[in-house]
Amino acid sequence: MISVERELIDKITAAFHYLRTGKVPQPIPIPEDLPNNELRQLFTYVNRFLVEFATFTEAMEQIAQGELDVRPVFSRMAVSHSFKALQSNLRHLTWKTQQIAGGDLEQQVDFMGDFSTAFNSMTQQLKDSREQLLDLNKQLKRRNRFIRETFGRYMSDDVVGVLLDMPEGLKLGGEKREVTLLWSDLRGFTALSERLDPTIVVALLNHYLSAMIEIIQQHGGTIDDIIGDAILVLFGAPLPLEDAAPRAVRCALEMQKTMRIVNEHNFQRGWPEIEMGIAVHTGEVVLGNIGSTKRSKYSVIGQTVNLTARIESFTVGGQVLVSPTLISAANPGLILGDEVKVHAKGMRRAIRCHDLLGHNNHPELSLEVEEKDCNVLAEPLAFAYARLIGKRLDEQMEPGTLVSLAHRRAVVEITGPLPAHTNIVLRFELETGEEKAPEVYAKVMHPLEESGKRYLIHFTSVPPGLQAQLHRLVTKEKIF
Amino acid sequence: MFKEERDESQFTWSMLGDIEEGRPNLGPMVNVAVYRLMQFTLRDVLIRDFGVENADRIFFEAGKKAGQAYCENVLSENEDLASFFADIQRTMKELGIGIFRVESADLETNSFVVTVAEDLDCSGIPVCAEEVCIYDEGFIAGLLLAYSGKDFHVKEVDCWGSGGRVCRFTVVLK
Repeated sequence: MISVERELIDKITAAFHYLRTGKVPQPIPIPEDLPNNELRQLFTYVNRFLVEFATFTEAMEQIAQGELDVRPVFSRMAVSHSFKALQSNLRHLTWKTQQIAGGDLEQQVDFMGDFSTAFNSMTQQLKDSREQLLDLNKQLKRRNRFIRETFGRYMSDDVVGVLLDMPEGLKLGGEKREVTLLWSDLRGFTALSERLDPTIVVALLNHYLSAMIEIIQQHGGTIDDIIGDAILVLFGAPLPLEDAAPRAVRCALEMQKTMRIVNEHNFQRGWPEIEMGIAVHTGEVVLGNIGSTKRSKYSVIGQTVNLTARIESFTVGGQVLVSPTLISAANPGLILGDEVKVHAKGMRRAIRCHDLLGHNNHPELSLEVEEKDCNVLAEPLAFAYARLIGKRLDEQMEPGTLVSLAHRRAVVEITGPLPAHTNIVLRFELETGEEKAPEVYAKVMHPLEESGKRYLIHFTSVPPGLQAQLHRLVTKEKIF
Repeated sequence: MFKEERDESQFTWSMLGDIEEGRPNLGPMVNVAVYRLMQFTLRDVLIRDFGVENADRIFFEAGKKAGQAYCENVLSENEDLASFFADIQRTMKELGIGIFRVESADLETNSFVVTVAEDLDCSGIPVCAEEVCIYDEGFIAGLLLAYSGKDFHVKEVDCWGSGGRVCRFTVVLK
């Protein structure tokens, strides 16, 4: 029989009591004098269990706190196997989740019971959502591409951005709305382009258009079309603008002011000076995506467009002509000059347009008053002239004399009456060294006296050689 | 082809034959016990004749050869490591080899911890205080060699044979 001290048995009982009540007991000190018998063996096994249990408890606490890199438990107790499997699964799930977070939605979890089902269902839903998002994104990209292709080329990024942000998209099917139109055109550019090297024509035009487009975009205009050297700009479409007319006015004035910079650039390169006329008009138009399924563009049509073009044809270089409706929409503050009566097809009465000189609130945009002084020539210079009807010359050439001259204007004396704004071609009898008499294009401004013989004309196109020659004929004496 | 003397490996995937044609009725699957019968009797004889170290080396080399062939013939072209592991997981499950899982992957140090649960070789064997999945170690090394062109050291640290419930392998670049 092995004799057992009651105190030793109590220690084992206490250790298990602590285990059952949530504590982690320390190994039981084994008395040194305890014989190497079954009782010592019992204490040794109990202590091994307590050590493994303590290690296991510590590992479980760490796992419970999410510390998955806890040191593996070297125990062969069944509970340790489950712990290892749990640790392994959690680490695996962490890795899987990291892959999904990285965008790999093909990841699946197998053989983890309900968790596998839930996890794989979540992944599938994420995958479906991503596909839906990709699909929506594709649709959005298609819509954005359409908007950019339709408007992006000739519209400021801000306006394109607003269009892209509109969730309902644009109504491009067609609508009638009041807008302000700005029509600009270079005076005499067709004749000029025929005299110049084509590469210079393109370079000159591109430089001019770049400068104008930038100003138009700054003022919120939408460039509807560029036809050669002419630009049609909309204010108030596709996005409505409450201040469309004042914007168009400021834009037109700044465009004219900028022509000085454009011409300085031309001068530095030996290119000819160019002049631009602008018409600004407010009226109702039909707006929409016009064309066929293969080719269409956002555009405007209507009598307002035609009338704007008509007003523009009455301008001379450096001039901005504004219509009565524009004046009503843009006032107060407009500084207006002479009245110009514009006759348009289908209209009984002439439209009383005005020369726009500036705006009271924007003194920096005031246009220079057209040169009034002309220098008298020492001897009047003879020429022959013909009216220009559309692009066609009147067959009958009439004689005339040039009596005084300024940079862009001149006083001529002729026999027949010439209505204001008539376009004419003048051929001078000068020693230019060229076989063909040099041609000058001009617009009749108005008669200078009641007799109707003397007229003020505005040059729209003068060959460079002839211009220099004409100015050599000028004296310092002024006639008016 | 099978019994020629050789100094270098001559194994090719085609040596496995046309199983569909050859087993039209029984099909490609076999009882796991039969696989283990071959595996453990072979190990038994190899240890007896060549010792434990040599037997382990032979099993590792054979597993490595199998892993390379498996990668080239069973797995798809995978652009990244995550896809590669997912492909291993999927095919090993489909073929009943085991449930392959990645516990951690450190791409900077090229070190990984992977597990195979319900492993073909060892799951359910009596506890013998030994890690016995040497063939699996070679198999994983072969997979990674074929995929990356790099040699990895693979060591089994938990095994059913040593009392675990999953086989856990540490993988580090040699």
